[in-house]
Amino acid sequence: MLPQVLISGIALGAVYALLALSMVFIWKTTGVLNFAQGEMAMVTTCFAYTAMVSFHLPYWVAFLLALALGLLLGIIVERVIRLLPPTDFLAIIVVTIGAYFVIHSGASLIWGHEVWPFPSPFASEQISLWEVAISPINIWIFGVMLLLTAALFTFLNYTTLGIQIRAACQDQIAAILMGISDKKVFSMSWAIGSVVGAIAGILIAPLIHLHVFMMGDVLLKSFAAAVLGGINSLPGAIVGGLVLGVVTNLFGAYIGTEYQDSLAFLIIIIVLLIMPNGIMGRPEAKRV
Amino acid sequence: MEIRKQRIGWIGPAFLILTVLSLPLFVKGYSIYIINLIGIYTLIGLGLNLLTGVCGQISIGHAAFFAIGAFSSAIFTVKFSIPFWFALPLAGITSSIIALIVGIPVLRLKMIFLAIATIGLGVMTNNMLYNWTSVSGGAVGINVPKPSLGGFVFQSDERFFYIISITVLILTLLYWHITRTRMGRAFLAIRESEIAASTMGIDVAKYKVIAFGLSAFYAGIAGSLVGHLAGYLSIETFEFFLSITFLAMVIIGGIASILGSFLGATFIVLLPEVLRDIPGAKDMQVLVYGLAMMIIMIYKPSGLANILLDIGGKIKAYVNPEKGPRRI
Repeated sequence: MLPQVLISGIALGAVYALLALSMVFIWKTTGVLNFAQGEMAMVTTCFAYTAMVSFHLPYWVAFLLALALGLLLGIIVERVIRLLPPTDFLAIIVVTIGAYFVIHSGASLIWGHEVWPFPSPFASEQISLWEVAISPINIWIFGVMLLLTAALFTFLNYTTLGIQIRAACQDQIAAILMGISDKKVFSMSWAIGSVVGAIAGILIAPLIHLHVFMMGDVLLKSFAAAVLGGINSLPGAIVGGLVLGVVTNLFGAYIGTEYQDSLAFLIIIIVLLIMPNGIMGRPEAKRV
Repeated sequence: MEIRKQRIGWIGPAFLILTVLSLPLFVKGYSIYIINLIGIYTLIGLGLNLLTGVCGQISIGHAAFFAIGAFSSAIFTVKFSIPFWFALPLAGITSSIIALIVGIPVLRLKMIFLAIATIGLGVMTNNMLYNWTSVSGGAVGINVPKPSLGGFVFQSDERFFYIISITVLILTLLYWHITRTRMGRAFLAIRESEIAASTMGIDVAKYKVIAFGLSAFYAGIAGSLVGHLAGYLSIETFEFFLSITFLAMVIIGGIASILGSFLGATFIVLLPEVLRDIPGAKDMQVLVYGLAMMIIMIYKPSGLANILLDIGGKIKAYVNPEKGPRRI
């Protein structure tokens, strides 16, 4: 029983971590927490579904098309946020919530409220290892999560563009003076973050089925995962997601599933109060 | 000239109050129900405005306090047979006590962390109430009695209108009063800069918690009213989505403004009625909320209230060109 609960918890945590990764990346590079991230992932997944079912495109072509749409959406949302004063935190939150509303209702108007099974290129029967059953899609999600984290980490730390992105986030004016185009760099961050979100959506969809509300719960849990791990740390998103998945699954298995949602947020609030920077986050200094 | 101006200053509000109080004579049935809802949403708007508009602290979990007010009032009247007239303020006080208890730790958090912690409060309250069936009735819901005063039962929406309009009046005056006291100015100072406020000797933590408690009081009163107005309560009414709708309402109406709270509530309540016959009305409604929030934040951060005052100012300037348009 216990190994199964732990493995299912990790599988669930990886789902949260994947979306959390895209939110942490955008937060880390532009200082915006995107409330619309889940809905953006939902709309790209719906788009992939239409490409596959209505236009009979192969899975991988639909996958790439969805990533392209994610990229475009990221750039569009960044263009809107650019119109706001960068220090007005309330305005930025409100606009991303507005984007959440617009994308969610737009998708509802186009795709309706039905639930569809989302196709997956991976085998659907569960694999049994010793006494633990796990479906291949969960292994893929876990693998992609690790791969994406490594890729984003390498990108931010070892490529010129990554270093430019970090510089622009740290001190926008100094970065401009060094010849970095802040506009290009922020667009780039949003595009990359949203592509990661789109990957998350398509990988998660076979597990929870495709419908316009699919990301509602995942979004809230991913926020929790991001905060738990440390909102400015990419590995933190993974740690936060996995810890959250395992703890809520243990609680559900041994105590009861009714209060699982409450437990998730109780953990977050306690963690925020004891270590405001999360498990792996670094404190951010603020200049007065 | 001065004296005449003074008199008009008093006649205006008196006329407004008389018109409002005589509304049920002319407006009946469903329309008065809608007006009652606007009143209830105005209360939530006022409360959230104290917290977000005046004090600058975000809350994306305010449906929690709305729900706590609604269910505690139902419990007080049904299980303890406390008359509605005491249950109403008690519901507000219960809400604000819970807000004070959770606010003391949570309001130490800033910006994005406060936003996420308040989302957490909303989700937790909803989850707990849903499973605490002896209080909330679970998925089934509970029936709530209509208030009565010495044999006179406020059964119809027309009668209930008086309860709501008088509550809105009192709480609007309270809001107006708070913003003009030392406390209100402390809230404003915290909104502008917490560090500057604390260097001026303002106890930032204390005032933030007070603002949180006050806004929960307003939401609790609104919750109590909505339960007794509908006569029935179900936990599904109080979801995460409702919390963001409340935030949308305050932003669209106009932040830190009494007129804005009223306009935002009117917008949120009337929009579903206007869109009722359009296919996909529910989605269209959310689409309009989203677009309005984005457009207002980008082009007119002080919302519908400012737009209305601008139009009023232009008309005034047209009638009396010597005075410029009024700005807030």
